[in-house]
Amino acid sequence: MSTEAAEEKVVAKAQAGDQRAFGTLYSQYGRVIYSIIRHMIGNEETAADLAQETFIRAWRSLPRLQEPKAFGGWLRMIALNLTRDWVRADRPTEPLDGENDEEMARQWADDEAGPADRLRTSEQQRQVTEAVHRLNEDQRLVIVMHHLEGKPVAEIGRELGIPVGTVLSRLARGREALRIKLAPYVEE
Amino acid sequence: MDCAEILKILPDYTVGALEEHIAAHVRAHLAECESCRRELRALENTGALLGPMPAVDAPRDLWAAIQAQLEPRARRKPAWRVYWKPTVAVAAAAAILIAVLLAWPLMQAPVPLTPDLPVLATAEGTSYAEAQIAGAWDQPLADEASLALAMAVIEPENSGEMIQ
Repeated sequence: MSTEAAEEKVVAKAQAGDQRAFGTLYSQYGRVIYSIIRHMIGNEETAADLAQETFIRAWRSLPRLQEPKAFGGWLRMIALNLTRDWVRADRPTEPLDGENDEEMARQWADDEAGPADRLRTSEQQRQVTEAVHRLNEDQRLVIVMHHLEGKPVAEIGRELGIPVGTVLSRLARGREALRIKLAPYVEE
Repeated sequence: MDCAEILKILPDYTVGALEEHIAAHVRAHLAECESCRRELRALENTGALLGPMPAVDAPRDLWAAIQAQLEPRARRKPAWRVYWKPTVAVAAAAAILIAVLLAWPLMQAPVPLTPDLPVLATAEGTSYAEAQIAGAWDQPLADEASLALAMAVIEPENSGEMIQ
């Protein structure tokens, strides 16, 4: 049985009310969901709260999910919408802290001359996060999966059940929109 | 291709979404156009600005916190179990309504009392009912008491003779 088919079965069980199956889905997606939120808002505690809320909402809405194979994209959208709402409630993105942030900062430091270097201030990070949140849902999801998670376009297409050409097109339009919104950080 | 056309498809070029022969035109233009090369770098910088994000482990107790808040959910019933009760109720209500509608004219019409019922006359001057009762009287299994009672209702003055 393929990985996708196995996951569809687990999703179907969770839809029917099986909490153990939902736990299996958490094992698979908990880390990535937490990482996305953590990356976007820069605070461990809030990221944990939002990740928790993401899975609770997913559990409640799961019976209404039409395509079990689209679970991964659907779950990410719940997380991204919750993060967007949290950011838009006029709460500033918090500065980096803790061990994980040191890891992030080291990554930025590896690219001293590049644009990522400019992201060290929380204001710049907030601008990027806000720009991503302003994308339409389709573009936002693909941008997050490709640029933040580092997934190849073919894998994104498989996970979302859309052709590679559509993934590329959403990626291009999303990047075009971000380039305009983030002009001060990307223009030489 | 001029700059306006190139700029329009440059985002697609940066993500590798163009067909090879179009991408070749873009490459040729970029080799000679500093302005479009600057735009290409801005688009590439945008991608670099976004990530990749470092994957970090979620807190160890996160699943326990989630699980504590998962409400038990009733397993889904098959569609026929969900819908059969309302369906039966509706069918029963419809049947009662039809029965009432059919019976309504009968309930509204005045029911004539027995003495007013028309009695068919026979050629010999006796009524149809009298002829039937007289005919039945000679049958081996005739209920003479019932027949006499019927005759008494139709023709009270002659009924005494038949009973005797």
